[in-house]
Amino acid sequence: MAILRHHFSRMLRPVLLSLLMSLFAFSPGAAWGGQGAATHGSLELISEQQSIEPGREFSIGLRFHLEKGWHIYWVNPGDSGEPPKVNWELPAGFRAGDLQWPAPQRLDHPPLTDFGYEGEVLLLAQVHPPARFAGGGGNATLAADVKWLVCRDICGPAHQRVTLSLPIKTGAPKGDPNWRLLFERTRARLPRPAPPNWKSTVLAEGKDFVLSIDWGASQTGSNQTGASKTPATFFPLEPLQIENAAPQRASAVPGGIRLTLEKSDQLLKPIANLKGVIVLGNGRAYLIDAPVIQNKRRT
Amino acid sequence: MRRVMIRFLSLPLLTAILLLALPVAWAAQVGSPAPDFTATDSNGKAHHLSEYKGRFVVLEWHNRDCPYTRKHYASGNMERLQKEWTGKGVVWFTVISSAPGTQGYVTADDENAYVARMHASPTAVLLDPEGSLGRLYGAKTTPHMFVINPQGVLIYNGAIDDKPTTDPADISTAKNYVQAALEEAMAGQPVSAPTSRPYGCSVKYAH
Repeated sequence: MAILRHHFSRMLRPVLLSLLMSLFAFSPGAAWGGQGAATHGSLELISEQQSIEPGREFSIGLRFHLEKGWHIYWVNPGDSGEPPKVNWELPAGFRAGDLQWPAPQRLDHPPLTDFGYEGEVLLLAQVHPPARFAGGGGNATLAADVKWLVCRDICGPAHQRVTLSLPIKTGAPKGDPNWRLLFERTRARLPRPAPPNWKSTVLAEGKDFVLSIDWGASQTGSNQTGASKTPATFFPLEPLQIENAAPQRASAVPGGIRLTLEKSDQLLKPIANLKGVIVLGNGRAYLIDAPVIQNKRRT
Repeated sequence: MRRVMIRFLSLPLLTAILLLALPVAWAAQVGSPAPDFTATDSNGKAHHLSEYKGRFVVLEWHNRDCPYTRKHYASGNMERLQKEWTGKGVVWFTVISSAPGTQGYVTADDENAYVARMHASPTAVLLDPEGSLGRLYGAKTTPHMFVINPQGVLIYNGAIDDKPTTDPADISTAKNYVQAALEEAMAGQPVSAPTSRPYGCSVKYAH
């Protein structure tokens, strides 16, 4: 009887195992790629400083390090894909600001174009800790529940919860030397407001938008377009305004720059403003929110 | 002799005109006649869009292994829409533009088995491995949805719904744009959301 039972369990074991595995395959976790599975890279939550001073805001970031050939998406992913989404789980009294997205790169796969990141990328967020802590010192643990899409030619959804624990101390916090450069490099790629003397306008002409930026009195722009072959690339913040995959014709004009952008096939009405990020030849990124003027003669 | 000359001369001219017209032909513009096409389905039958004048036509770009497509198939959402609308006389074409060797490419037999297994009920599955139908309509993602009215005018171009995720739990709270477009158009109303950003995996075109 015992032998029979043993024999039976040996026969059943693979069946049970596969049953268990199939159950796992249909669990919600698996639908999201599971914790850490199929992320094609790593994700961690990092801090610019080594401790938290009550009431003093500081920067943290989601650091993606992607396997070669894989990419994730910008806040406007372009023709396909989906940007990462984060759900913060913070101690009482803590508040996190919106994610700050460094300027993306064009990911061309004709006839489509996406906007995103390859290699190492940091999505920043400002954290505001409370001015007073009930229990005095100790550690604070910040957590981020992150869902994102990672793609090569094919895509997979990924889901991971990452945490970061920092001591609470009075006095100015020390920077974390491991991440100093990465935070600096990332900030240099964050779109900044356009200088006040720049004048940006868009002329809607037939099937194109012609974006003109006049540097005004400042030399900021002309110094920054440099001798680069591509003086500028425009990344739309709103979907359905421009055709993402269309080539952008950029040219330097006296005192400024001009970019011809093809209107989106899906744009049905005139738009009041064209919003996006312009990346100049030297890699500096600026926010553009330019009024659109309809060219009545041609349209 | 002269006729031959004209013919000979007109060939480069014709090519030039075609090339110039190409960027315009690429677009499927809402409010304009939907580009006509001829495509072969998974049972070897040819379909011309013009045959279906007088009926609503839905085009659904498909890749069974794309997680966004899976969201709408594994949940039964797409099959339910197909059943409901083909039941009301709508012509529903599932279109597969994955190139051979890319994700979502299928043989006709394989696709027919899939349709049976999923209890899907499109009018037909159009096989477009060279991507010509996809490029003609500017299909970007799977899914990417188009709705054509009985007059042959494109009335919707965009996403299936307003929740651009792979999570099936989002379907119950999403606004389905295709459903809305068909309901509004059938009630004689203008489509309130005629375009939206299609979301999903990129269509795996041949390069």
